[in-house]
Amino acid sequence: MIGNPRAILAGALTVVLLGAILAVFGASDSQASGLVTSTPLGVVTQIQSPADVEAPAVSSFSNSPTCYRQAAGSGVCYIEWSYLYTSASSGSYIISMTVTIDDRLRAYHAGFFQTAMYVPSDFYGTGFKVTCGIPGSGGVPGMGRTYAYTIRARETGGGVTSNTGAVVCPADEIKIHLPLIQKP
Amino acid sequence: MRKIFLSLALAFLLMAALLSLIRVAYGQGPDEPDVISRETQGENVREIYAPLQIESPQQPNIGFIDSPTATCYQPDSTQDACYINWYYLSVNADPNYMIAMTVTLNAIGVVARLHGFFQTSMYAPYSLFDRGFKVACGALGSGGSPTLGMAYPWTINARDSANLKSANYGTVYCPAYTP
Repeated sequence: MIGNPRAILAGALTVVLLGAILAVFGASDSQASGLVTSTPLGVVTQIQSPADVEAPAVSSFSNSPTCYRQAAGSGVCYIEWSYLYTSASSGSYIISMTVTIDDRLRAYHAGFFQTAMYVPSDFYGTGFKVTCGIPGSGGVPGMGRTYAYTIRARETGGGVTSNTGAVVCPADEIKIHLPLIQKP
Repeated sequence: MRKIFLSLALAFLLMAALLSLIRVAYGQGPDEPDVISRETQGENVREIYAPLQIESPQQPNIGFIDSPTATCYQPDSTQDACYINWYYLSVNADPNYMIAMTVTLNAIGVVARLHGFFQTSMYAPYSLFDRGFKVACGALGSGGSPTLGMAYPWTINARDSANLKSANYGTVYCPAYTP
């Protein structure tokens, strides 16, 4: 009724409560609709790995490690693989895969929302440059130096996998030819 | 006395409601683009957003950019020269046309720009950039990790003919150069 303070107060409280409820549910960092609220379109997903699910472990393959000599007499060899591949366990993402040759890191691959990682042979151009070495320098008769390598992969589930091996390079000796200078 | 108390209480409640509504309007940021979809995984972030001038669609045609295996490698350990590359870069905006995709190394700037030509998708294999983008490997620890060299934050942006954009953000770490 007009002039009744209790009625006025009740009506005002109702309006205020409705406004507060709309304000709470309509607030969103990505909306610019003013007082008119709508279902937020922004979707934020935090990727997490399950902690209580048994799944196949992370695995990796480093196929056909190779050392080859491109030009005889240069002393330069290159190490490469037919391909490198790693796969995360179910529900996990690949964080990184690294290539280390003789305890020296040569490549770092970062995962990006991927459950597997594949690196073909020509991704590194001609490969990783190393010294071929003189015959027998790697312990194998007639061959050059031996290089130890490690391929290590990590996943968001905490799994780590390593492939370790050694590759023997062809021997190569650098030959320096002195110019033939005749006395005048 | 009672009337005064009731009036004050009513005024207080009205003020509180008014301030809460203003807070909502203030938090929406008039200068911020409208993020339609966003995902994070560790340091990696990918998002789709609409510029301020256009209305955000419920279902954008442009998808997330595919940029797997961000790599930094050192072909020759005797030189302070590393190369950054991705296995491939791919984005689809069908039926909209792709306008452009750019690759940025944040410390250097834009290192590649791919232009669309009547195409609804875009695919760039690693071989498109030869051996990759040459950068300094950096000394051990220079990127914040004690076993690695420099860290290079990167950004890949793509835009379609509806002016919607997709972006990927990440960081790649290089092997250290130890003479």
